[in-house]
Amino acid sequence: MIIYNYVFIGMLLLGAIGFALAPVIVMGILAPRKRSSSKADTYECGLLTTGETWVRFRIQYYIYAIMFLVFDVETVFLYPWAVAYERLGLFALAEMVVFLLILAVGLAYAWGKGVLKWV
Amino acid sequence: MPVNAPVLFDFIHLAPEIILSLWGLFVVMIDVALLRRRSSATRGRILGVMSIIGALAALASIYLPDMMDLGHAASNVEESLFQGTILGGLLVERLTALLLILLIFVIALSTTWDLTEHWGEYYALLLWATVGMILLIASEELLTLFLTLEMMTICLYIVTAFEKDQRRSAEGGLKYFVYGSVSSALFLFGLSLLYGLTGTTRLAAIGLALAPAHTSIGLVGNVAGAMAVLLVLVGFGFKISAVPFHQWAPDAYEGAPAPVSAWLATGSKLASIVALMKVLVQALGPWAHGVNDISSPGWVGIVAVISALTMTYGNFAALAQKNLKRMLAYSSIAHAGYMLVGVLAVVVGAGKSAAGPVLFYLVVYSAANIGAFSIAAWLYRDKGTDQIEDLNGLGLKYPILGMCVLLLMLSLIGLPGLAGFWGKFFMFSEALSQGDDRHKLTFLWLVGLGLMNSVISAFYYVRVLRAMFLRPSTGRPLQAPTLTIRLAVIGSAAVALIFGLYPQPLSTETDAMAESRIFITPSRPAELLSVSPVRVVPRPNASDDTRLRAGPIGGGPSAPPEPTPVPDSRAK
Repeated sequence: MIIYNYVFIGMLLLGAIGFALAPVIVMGILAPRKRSSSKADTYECGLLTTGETWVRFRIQYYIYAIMFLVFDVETVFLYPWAVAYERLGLFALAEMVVFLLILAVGLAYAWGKGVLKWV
Repeated sequence: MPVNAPVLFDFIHLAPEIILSLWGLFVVMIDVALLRRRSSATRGRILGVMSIIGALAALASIYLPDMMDLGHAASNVEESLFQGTILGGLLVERLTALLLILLIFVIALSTTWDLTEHWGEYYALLLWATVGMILLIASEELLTLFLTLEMMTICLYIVTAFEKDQRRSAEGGLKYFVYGSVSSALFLFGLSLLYGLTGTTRLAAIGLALAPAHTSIGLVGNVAGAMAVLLVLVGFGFKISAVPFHQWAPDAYEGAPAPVSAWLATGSKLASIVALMKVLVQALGPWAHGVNDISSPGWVGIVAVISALTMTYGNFAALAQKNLKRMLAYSSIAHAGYMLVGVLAVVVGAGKSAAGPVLFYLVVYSAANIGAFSIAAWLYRDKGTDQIEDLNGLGLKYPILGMCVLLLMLSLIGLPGLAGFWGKFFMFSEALSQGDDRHKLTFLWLVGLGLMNSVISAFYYVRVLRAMFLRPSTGRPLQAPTLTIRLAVIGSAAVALIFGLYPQPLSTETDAMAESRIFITPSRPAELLSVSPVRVVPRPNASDDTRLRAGPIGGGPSAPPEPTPVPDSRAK
């Protein structure tokens, strides 16, 4: 019984792999080939590459990403809470306020640490 | 479906956890808002004192239910809080108090040197890790157990890597994190299999569902069940650093700042061992071994082998160490091995709880390790290393502290007259007195191995003493220890000596704590107290040993997860 169920997953897997590989293979067979130096160049928004490509760069925005994630997840929690609010009553309101307060402390912390400033 | 809101009563029982969590936020905010312009050392001291105040407040709040006449701790009645997810009662209260006292020492040790500039975050993470530990001990349900385990370890991953300018701190933290997250994933998979097999996440209900009285399904031929047991053992094996899941421990202990290593070796290990006992005995107890036959398939055999490997490997590896923290890491691995013997005794001695000796051992072991790691902190502050040879001549220069370390090391070896001896004695004699003759044979060789290992452990503990007392002082001399180091060393030596001479008070206490229902395999619904029995849906057309395999996992939803609310045991 279990094996039988896996057959469908296997078919789906094969289909997915085929879907990804098919254009590559078809392109390889059908497309005309014209090599040129500009085609072989490193792709950087159509411009010529300047300097070393393996440089380190500042990933300052990752803190923004984390902050965004925190409040994104907050929304995810707020939706089901809002839907079920009628039946949950005062207790759920209090719990959500506590949750939001804790997140607010997180924001205040980030602010106080100066991570919201773009340097 | 009506939603049962937890009553105020439940929150009062959680007072220590709530206070610690909020205090962590408070400490972080004070650091950011008020202390930004102070020097790092000043902030470390101010926030350290504040964190200790928070821990003391939490310690006092343990007795809040008693003061408000809500708890029944005096009569040792255990409460089910938050719809049966969290346990309240004597065991949890006492272990919470123990963890908080250890935490206070760890915080105090952290002020020894300027290990970081992010002091607010450091103390907050220590406090939150403690919340995880307390809830881990109190959890009575698989999901809560997993969440609290993660709460504890995620905080510990970060504080392990907290000494940012030290390469090995980052290395230790990363190794701890990678091993830890993989083992957590495996553990979670094991828990999900358990849920699939029994249709419940409550530990007691799982134990009842697997009990021979309800089903005749053992582990024989039960692939999903065997996988679940193995994966749960892998998860816990990592947390208590049992061989072969120990590789992270030496690196993490060596790399972490000494106070954090102390917290890894005491708090984390204490909470994990209690959780391991709880899951193995209360939930998986029926699968320990076949009915009246210890050699039939079951986890007793596996845990016995793990225990033997852990104590032997830990001790032999510790022999080769030159670094004090690394040596203590291997010694803590070895001690986990000894404690697994005690855990085995708990499950074999069904009916009467035999967990007292393990709890006794945990108390003694934790106290001794706090002392030992505070020596490491002292060494690191003044010499920047933690090699054993850096201890040379220390015992003669500081005779009182030297004597205390002597007591600690002898107690860790298990020399008669000190607390470590009684820990081993109670645990091994409990193991030998459990079960019938076939059990005795299994325990006999485990206990024999444990005793041999104690002799081996003498070599490396004595090496510390030899460096301290017999070698001339070399290199830069150590400065006078801070008050916190003195207090930690003298305090833990006092525990080793006092409970070595009078083990009675502590062993009475731990035996009372061991009466908790989490250390008893439920065999009849009556023993479940307030937990409603779960139904394992019998399959009429399946033979006995395939019944579970054809159950919820393979064949779709059949055993409905029980939505039964806990009957309120507090209704008067």
